Amino acid sequence: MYATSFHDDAAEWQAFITGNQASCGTLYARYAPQLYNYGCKLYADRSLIEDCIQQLFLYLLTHRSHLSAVQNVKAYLVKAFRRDLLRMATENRKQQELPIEGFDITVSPETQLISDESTLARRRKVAEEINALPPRMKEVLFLRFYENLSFEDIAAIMNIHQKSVYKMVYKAFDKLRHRLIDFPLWLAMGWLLWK
Amino acid sequence: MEWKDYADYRQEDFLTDDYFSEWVLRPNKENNAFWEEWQQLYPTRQPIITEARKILLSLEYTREEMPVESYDRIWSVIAEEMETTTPVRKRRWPMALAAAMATGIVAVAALWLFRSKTIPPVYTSQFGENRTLILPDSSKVILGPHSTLRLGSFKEIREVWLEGEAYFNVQHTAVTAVPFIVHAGSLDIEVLGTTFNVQNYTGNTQVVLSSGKIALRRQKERLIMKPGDLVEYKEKEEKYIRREVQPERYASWVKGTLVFEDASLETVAAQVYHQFGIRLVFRDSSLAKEKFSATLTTADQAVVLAAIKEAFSLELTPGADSTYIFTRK
Repeated sequence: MYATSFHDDAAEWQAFITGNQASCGTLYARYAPQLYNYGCKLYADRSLIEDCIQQLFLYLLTHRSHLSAVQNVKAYLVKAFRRDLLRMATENRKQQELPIEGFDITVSPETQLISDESTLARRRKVAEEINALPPRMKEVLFLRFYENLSFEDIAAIMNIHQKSVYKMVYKAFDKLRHRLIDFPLWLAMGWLLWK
Repeated sequence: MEWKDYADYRQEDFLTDDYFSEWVLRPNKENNAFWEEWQQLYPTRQPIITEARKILLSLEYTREEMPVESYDRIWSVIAEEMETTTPVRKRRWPMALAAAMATGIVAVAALWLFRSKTIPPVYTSQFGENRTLILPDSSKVILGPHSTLRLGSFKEIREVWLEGEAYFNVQHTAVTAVPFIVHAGSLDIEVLGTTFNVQNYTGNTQVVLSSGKIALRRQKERLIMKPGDLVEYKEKEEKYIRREVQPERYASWVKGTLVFEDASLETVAAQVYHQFGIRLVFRDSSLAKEKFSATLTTADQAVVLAAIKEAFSLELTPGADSTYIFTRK
């Protein structure tokens, strides 16, 4: 229902590996900002993230004649980027620090603007519960529901079994549901105490 | 997909189901129809669906924007590398000729190498960001949000390729008329010193001429525009729409004002997406076709959302991934 002007990724990739220079620019324009966003959630060091994006594209460029057709370009780039970033981060572990927010979910200012009090309280509770999950679980949720990658792609990106990815998502939501069942009571209690 | 498959799904089963999350996060006519019908068939399961939807729509993330300087710096490194790794095209000439014209080839190669030192840049803007660019011929371009402008060599011909929206102020070349061509969608816009706005966010290319004279070309067709003309080329129907407008309204985004003139909500959604990176979803498909007119000065996304909500008295629900869902009351 919303329009995007994006062309077919796989075709762009094909053009790129057969030597089309313009498609390198297109892939960069499309994916560098996305990888940057993802990187910032993995590591706090922005210059490391930028180095990693640069190296990834330089690698693709110099090895493009040896690269093969890719079905899901996004999944391919995210996987390569994550692997490189983790490797580079271990290499200079000394300065390495994790971002405070990581893959936390947020209640955006816009949501706060247009939601009523009880919806907002619930949203905050959901955020609190989701954000308390282990980092890898939160990363899976981000890749699945923000980046719109399939369980299969996520398994390849994070180097785990597809079944484990599925289980992580299932567990995360199961836990959330149990926590939320108690929520109305918790809210009422809080309200009474506050009164 | 069978209806009965979902009959004994629990909340977690829905949340891990691809087709379900597709509907919640990226609704379309087809999946909307399915899930609405399903809910009518299984009214007792409705609360579970509603709850699962709410949870998915709670998954909002902050987006870290890549600084423009970093973006440009990395791109220039890549572009330089692109030059050095481009295979030298010696093999195109037969060996005999190459031997015979050895000196000539050296000269040609040197020339070619020299030429290729100038890397045609690609300029990109992010959501909600306008960039002012000065082209090699000192023409000025204001690049709209979430747009890409790729430059040609600017030697015999001045050529640019646009995806998104841009306002052009093209420099008239004094000595010899060097043509300036904007490629947008399947249109080529041929220019001789003039100001105009081009937009192709929706796939259709729309050109509004402020001053001067331009010619639109598509394959063998040629169409001359005069100031105040708006021409829109519909890619799917392969036809032109032409009407007279106030051109300054179409360039108002340059100054941060958003103007919608009898625009369908679908078109508004496309523009708002590129402007702010948020997606508007209209639950009711007839709603997407409704016409919206408004001039919004100092338009931020809250203003735009509120304006649409008020204009049609709709309900507005925020979704995950910066999605906003409009439903009729």
